[in-house]
Amino acid sequence: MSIRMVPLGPTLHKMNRIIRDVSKKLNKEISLKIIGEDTEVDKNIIEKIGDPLMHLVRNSADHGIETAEVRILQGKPGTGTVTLEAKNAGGEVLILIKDDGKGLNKEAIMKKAMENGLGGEELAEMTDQEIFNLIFLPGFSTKEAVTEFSGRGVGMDVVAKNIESVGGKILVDSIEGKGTVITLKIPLTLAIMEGMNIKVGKSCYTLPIMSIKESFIPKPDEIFRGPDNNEMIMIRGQCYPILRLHECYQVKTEVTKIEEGILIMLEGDTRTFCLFADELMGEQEVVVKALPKYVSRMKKIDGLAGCTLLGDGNISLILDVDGLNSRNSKIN
Amino acid sequence: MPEEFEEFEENEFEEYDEEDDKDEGQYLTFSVENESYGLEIIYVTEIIGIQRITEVPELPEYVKGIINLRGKIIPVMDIRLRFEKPFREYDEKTCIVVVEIQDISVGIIVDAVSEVITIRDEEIVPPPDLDDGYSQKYMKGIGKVGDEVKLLLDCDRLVNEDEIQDLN
Repeated sequence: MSIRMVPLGPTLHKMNRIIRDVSKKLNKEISLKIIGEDTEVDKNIIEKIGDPLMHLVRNSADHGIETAEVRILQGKPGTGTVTLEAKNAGGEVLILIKDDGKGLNKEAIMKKAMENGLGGEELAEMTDQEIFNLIFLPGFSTKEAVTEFSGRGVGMDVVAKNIESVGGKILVDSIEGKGTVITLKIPLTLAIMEGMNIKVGKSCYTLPIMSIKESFIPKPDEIFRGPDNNEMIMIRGQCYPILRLHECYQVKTEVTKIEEGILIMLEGDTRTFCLFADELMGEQEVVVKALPKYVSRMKKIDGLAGCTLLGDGNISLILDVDGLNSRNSKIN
Repeated sequence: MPEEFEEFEENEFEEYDEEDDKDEGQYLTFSVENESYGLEIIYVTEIIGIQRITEVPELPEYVKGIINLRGKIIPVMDIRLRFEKPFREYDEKTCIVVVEIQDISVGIIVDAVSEVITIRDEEIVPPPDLDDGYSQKYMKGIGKVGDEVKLLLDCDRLVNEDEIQDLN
């Protein structure tokens, strides 16, 4: 486990260059402060947060920090400061991107939101935080002029997406005239995931929430079979193959009629298919554990990513959508 | 636990004026069908009652699945099925003997656990050469205890030699 953990230092120090570039181009005086550079994060996660971090720092420097003249007029020191701070907080790592610039303009965000069709009443009910979070929507920029660095309205939504893809969260807080703080909450490791527990016979399986598109109870007449006897279902004009988990893994179950169970539509890298299970048991955050060495050495089981312990002490097998997918195509 | 046993045995041996014996001569005996088997005690980490086993697909029949042993996930194999004997429903006497070899923990499901006995090397004879019996190779020897025989299993082979089986 610890071998996968890498300090954030090098990633944070890369931001020095961004700050230097921006300050030169835009004629601003900006200094970068880095705190907590030896905070460690899973290697895979570091790779994913490099670009979002770069974008956020560039944003702070470009949108946030004012020019020296403006700053001095407002009684602030001429040199703006962007602070990057990383720290551990429980099972998460927090990365804070702080600037002492002009802060987010709430009015401008609200105005922009109304232009984009959001009602005034809805906006009135929103907390400041919720309003600030609007900047993560696609196509949202309050900046009038597009510069080389920012203002195109793409970026923040991509940042949010990237952070979410590693299971993280992004929060914004801002005080007008004082500055902005963007907080990235990142899981320490990818070994924890959001899962949906499903049941087949007596066995419990866990699917990664990210791959589930929808789940529904099919009607028997919606199902049809191809010449090779593989089942398919037509949903909104699209045809999807059905994979019955109990057949695929030879699990004994009483639920074999399609209308008695549930279909879960899963999106894999290569294609989307429907998995047939007895029932859904609920959503849960699970800790991914590897299958025992004895088992993994014996055979690589397609479609199994590992296992996890449920609250009641039972074991649930974690399914890997792409593995299942390849099984499914083999059958077909 | 092991220390207690060691002490007890050592005292006993002193009386008989035997050379000191370690764990090596000690075997945990258990019964499967009508036979009595023995496993070297150094490999045994614990004995637990039967518990809920989570089936894992696509494994050989004798690997019944995985269990949660205080947060550690270990596979369990049914020794009956391993030795191609008929499956028997588990009852309150059925035990899982957890063995650990080279950092690999495996639970072995046996009909019932009997006792820990000491069998000295000179009381162990090698198994007869039979080429047809496939379970033969998991035998390390046959121990004589009084007028009973204990089939002593080679724990290492039992745990580490499945892949070869699977290829056949």
